[in-house]
Amino acid sequence: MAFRFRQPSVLPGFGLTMGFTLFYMALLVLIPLGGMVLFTTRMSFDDFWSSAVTDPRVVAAYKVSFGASMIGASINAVFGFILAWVLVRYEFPGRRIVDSIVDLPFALPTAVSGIALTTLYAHTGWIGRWFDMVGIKVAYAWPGIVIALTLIGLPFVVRTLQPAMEDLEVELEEASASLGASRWQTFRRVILPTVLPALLTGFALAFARAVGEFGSVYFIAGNMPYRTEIAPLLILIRLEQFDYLGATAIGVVMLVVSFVMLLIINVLQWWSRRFQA
Amino acid sequence: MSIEIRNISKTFGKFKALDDVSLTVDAGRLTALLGPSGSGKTTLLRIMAGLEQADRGSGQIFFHEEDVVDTHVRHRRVGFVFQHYALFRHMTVFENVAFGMRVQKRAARPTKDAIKARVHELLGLVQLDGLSARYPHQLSGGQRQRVALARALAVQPRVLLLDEPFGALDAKVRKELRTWLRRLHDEIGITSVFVTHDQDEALEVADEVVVMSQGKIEQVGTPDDVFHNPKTEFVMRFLGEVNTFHGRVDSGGVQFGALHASYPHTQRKIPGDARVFVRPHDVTIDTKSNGLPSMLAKVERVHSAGAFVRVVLSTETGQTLNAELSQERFTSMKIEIGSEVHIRPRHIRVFTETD
Amino acid sequence: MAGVVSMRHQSGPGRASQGKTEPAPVRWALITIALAFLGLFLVMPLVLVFTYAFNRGLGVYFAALTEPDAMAAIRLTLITAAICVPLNTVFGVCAAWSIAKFEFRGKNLLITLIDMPFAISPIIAGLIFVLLFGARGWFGPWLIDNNIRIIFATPGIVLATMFVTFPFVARELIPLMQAQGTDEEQSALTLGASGWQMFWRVTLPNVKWGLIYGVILCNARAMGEFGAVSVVSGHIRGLTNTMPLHIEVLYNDYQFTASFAVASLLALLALVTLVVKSVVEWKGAREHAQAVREAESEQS
Repeated sequence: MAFRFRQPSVLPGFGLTMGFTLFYMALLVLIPLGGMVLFTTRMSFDDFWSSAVTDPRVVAAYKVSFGASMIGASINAVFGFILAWVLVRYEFPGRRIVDSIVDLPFALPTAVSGIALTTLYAHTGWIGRWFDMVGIKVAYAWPGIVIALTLIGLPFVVRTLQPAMEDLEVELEEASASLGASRWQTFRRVILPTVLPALLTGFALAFARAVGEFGSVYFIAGNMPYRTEIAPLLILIRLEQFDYLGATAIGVVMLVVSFVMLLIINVLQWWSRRFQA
Repeated sequence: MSIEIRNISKTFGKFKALDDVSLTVDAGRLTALLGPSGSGKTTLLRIMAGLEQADRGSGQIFFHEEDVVDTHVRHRRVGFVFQHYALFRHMTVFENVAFGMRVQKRAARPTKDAIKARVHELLGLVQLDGLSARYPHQLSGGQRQRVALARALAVQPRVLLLDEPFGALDAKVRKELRTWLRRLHDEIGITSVFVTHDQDEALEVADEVVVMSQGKIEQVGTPDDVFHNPKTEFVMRFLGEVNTFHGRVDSGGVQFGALHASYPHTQRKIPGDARVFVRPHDVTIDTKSNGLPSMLAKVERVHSAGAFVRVVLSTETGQTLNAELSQERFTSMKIEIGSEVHIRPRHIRVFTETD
Repeated sequence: MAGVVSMRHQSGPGRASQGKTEPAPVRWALITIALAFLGLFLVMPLVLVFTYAFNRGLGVYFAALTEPDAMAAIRLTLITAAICVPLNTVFGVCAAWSIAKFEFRGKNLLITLIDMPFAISPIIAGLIFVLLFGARGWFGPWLIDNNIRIIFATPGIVLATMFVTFPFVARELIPLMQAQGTDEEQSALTLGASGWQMFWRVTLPNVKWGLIYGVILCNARAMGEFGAVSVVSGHIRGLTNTMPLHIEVLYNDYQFTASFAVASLLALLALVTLVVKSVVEWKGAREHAQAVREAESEQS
C-alpha cells in the first residue's frame, strides 16, 4: 500500500487548517524551543555540565523544586482523593459551588495567589500567626513553598479523579459487598485499584505543574540561595546577570524533565484506558 | 433519474470494500442494497452520494446520462438520509428542513415565503407539520427519521439515498416506518436506494434487491426473484433459513444422504462435490413411508408456539435439520419427540464448487 | 495536560444506595476534611485578597487603580490579551478542525506537541524568547542594528503570553468536536452547503459553549501570566509592566493595599471565568441529560 498521510474525506479545509496549525505551532513553540536547545552548542559540554548539573547552588535549587513538588503532589493525592470522592459520591449543601471553586487555581493568576498566600501565612498573617505561636515558620521558608505548590496542583488531581470515580460502577461495590467484603476491604481491593491509574495521572500532572511553577512560589519562598530558591527562579537570576548560557543549561534540564513527565503522563493515561473495552 | 455504476472499486488500506462493482438502478425504483456488515453496501451508497471517493482511476457513476464521478457532493444533488439522522441539533425542525434552501446561492435561493411554504409542504408530507418549532432532541426516533427525510427532499434531489434508514429504531416503529416509506415512495416516485442488513426489510419494501457480499454484488433481482431463485450459495444462505447437505453431482442428478434427486435442468452441473440446500418449509414430514424416496430421521424437539410448527430432526447420519409445517398438519400427524419419521425435500437447490 | 480543565458532563451523586456507602459519621468527617482543606488553600486566600484590597476604604481602592502606573499596566494587559486571545482562538479552531474531523498519521504526536506549553515552566517560556531576541540571543545583534526591540518591550510580552496560553482553546475544542463526529457536516454538504456555510452554520454553533469557555480561560491566563512575562518584560514601570508585574512591584514596595487592589481585579476575572465555566457545564449537562432521556424514550 502506498504511504498515505491522511484518509480521504469529503469535508473541506484540511490543508488550510492543518497548514496554519503547523505553521503557527512551529513559529511560536517549536522554533523557539529548538533555539534554546541549539543555544547549548555555544558552550562546551564541561561548561554545560558544571552549570546545569554540578553547580552546588543549582543542585540545591533542584532539590528544593523537586522535593517540594513531590510533597505538594503527595498532599494533593491524599486530600484531592478525599475531595473528589466527596464531590462525586455525597450530597451536601453547596456541593456545586465547592465543585466550581476547585478550578480556582487554573484561573487565578499566580501572582495573586502568591501575594495572598504569603500574607496569609506570614508570621503576622491570619493563619501564619497560629503557626508562629508553636514556632513554625511557614512563609519565607520551606513549608511555604510546599503550600504554594499544593495550591496550584490541587485541581489536576481532583479533575483527573472525578471522571474515573464517576465511571466506577456501583455494581462493582455491590458485588464486593455481596461477597462478604467490608466497606474498607471494598475500598482497598476494588475502588482504589480501579482509580489508581487516574490517581497517579493526577499526581504526575500536579507534580509536573509544580516543578515549573514560578509566580506563587516566588513571593512566599523567601528565595534564599541554597535553601529556598527554586530552579525556575535561578534561571531568571542567571538571565538578570546576562548569563544566557547558565540560564540555558538549567532550562534544558527542566525541559527534559517536562518531556519525561509528559511521556509518563501519556503512558499513565494509556494505562488507565487499558481495561476499557 | 436512473443511476448507473460502472466498475467501481474502493479500498481502505488493505481492505477491499468494493471490488469492481457495476450496477444499474432504474429511474423511479426503490432499490435495496442488502448484505451483512462489511459487504460494502454502505460504501457503495456513500460513493453514489459523493461522500466517499472511489479508487483513483476506477469506474464511472452516471445519473441519467451525466457522469457525476467528479461532481462534489455539494453539487451532486442527492438526498442523503444518515443512519443516525445527523439532524442539526441546534436548529429547530423547520430550520433543519429549510437549511438546504437557505444555503443556496442568492440568485437560486427561493424567497423566504417560498421556503416557508415548501418546508410546511414537506412537513405535511412526512406528517410532522405540528412539530416545526421543536428541536431534534424533543422528537422520538421515528419522528427524527422523518425530519431527516423531509430535509433531504427539500433540495429536490435527483436521487434519494438512505443509509440503514430503520437501523436505529425499535422493532415496532421500524415496521410502521417501513410501510410508510413504501407509500411515500409511491407518492413522490423519486429514484431511491436504501441500505439494509435486514432481509425482511429489503424483501418487503424494495422493488429491487441488490444482494452484496465481500465487496461484490451477488445477485440483483425482484424480492421474489432473489428469494426463490438465488443465483449463489451466499444468497441462498443469507435470505432465510436453510438446511445444508453435502452431496455429489452425477450425470442423473444429485446424491445426498440416502437420497438421489434430479434437479431442474436450468441448474445442470458438472459432476463433483456439491452442497444441497433445502428451506425448512420445503421439508415434508411423513409418519409412514409412502413409496417415494425419503430419508429417515428422529424428532428431537418441537416448537409449536407460532404460526408454523418448527420441528428439529436428526438424520441417520447424525445431521440436524429444521422443518416447518402448518399447525393443522402437525396436529393431524401426531408427531412426538423421539418418534421416527420419513422426510422428503420438495425443493432443493444445488451449488457446486465451481459456482 | 489540559484534559483536566476541559468541560465535563456533571452527574450528581446519589447513585450509591443504602448499605454500600460509608456510615454517616465517616461521610461527614470526609466532607469536613475536604471542605477544610479547600477553605484553607483556596477560599482563605481569595477572601484575603478582597479584604486587604478594601480595608482602607473605597477611596484608596479606586485611587490605587486609577494611578497612572496602574492604568498603564491595565492598558498593557488589555493590549496583550487583545492580541493573544484572537490568534490563539484562530489557531485553536484550526487545530481542532483538522485534528477532530480528519484521520491522519501522527495525530497523537501533534496533540502532545500542542499540550507542550502546559508542561513547560513559564520561566522557560520567557527564556526561549530571550534566547531568540535578547541582546545576546540568536537574532539580538540584528535586531539592535535595525533598532527593533522585542525583549523588554511589548512584542516580547505578547510572544511569551501567546506561548503560555497557546493550547487553551484547542484543548477545549478537540474533545468536543471529536465527540460530535462528522455526520452533521456531511449532511450539510449533501444539502448543498459550501465549506464556509457548513462551518458557520453547523460546526461552530455546535461547539459554541466550549469555544466560549476556551476563550474566557485563555483570556484569564493571558491577563494573569506572571512568570513568562517577568522574564521578558524588564519591569519598566509605566511601560512594560502588566497587571501581575505591577502587583509584584507594589507588593515589594510594601504598598499592600494598592497591590491587593490590582490583584482584586484579576481575582474577579478568575471568579467570572469560574462562573462561565459552571454555566457552560450546566448547559452541557442539560444537553447531556436530554440526550440520555431521548435514548431512554427510544427504548420504551
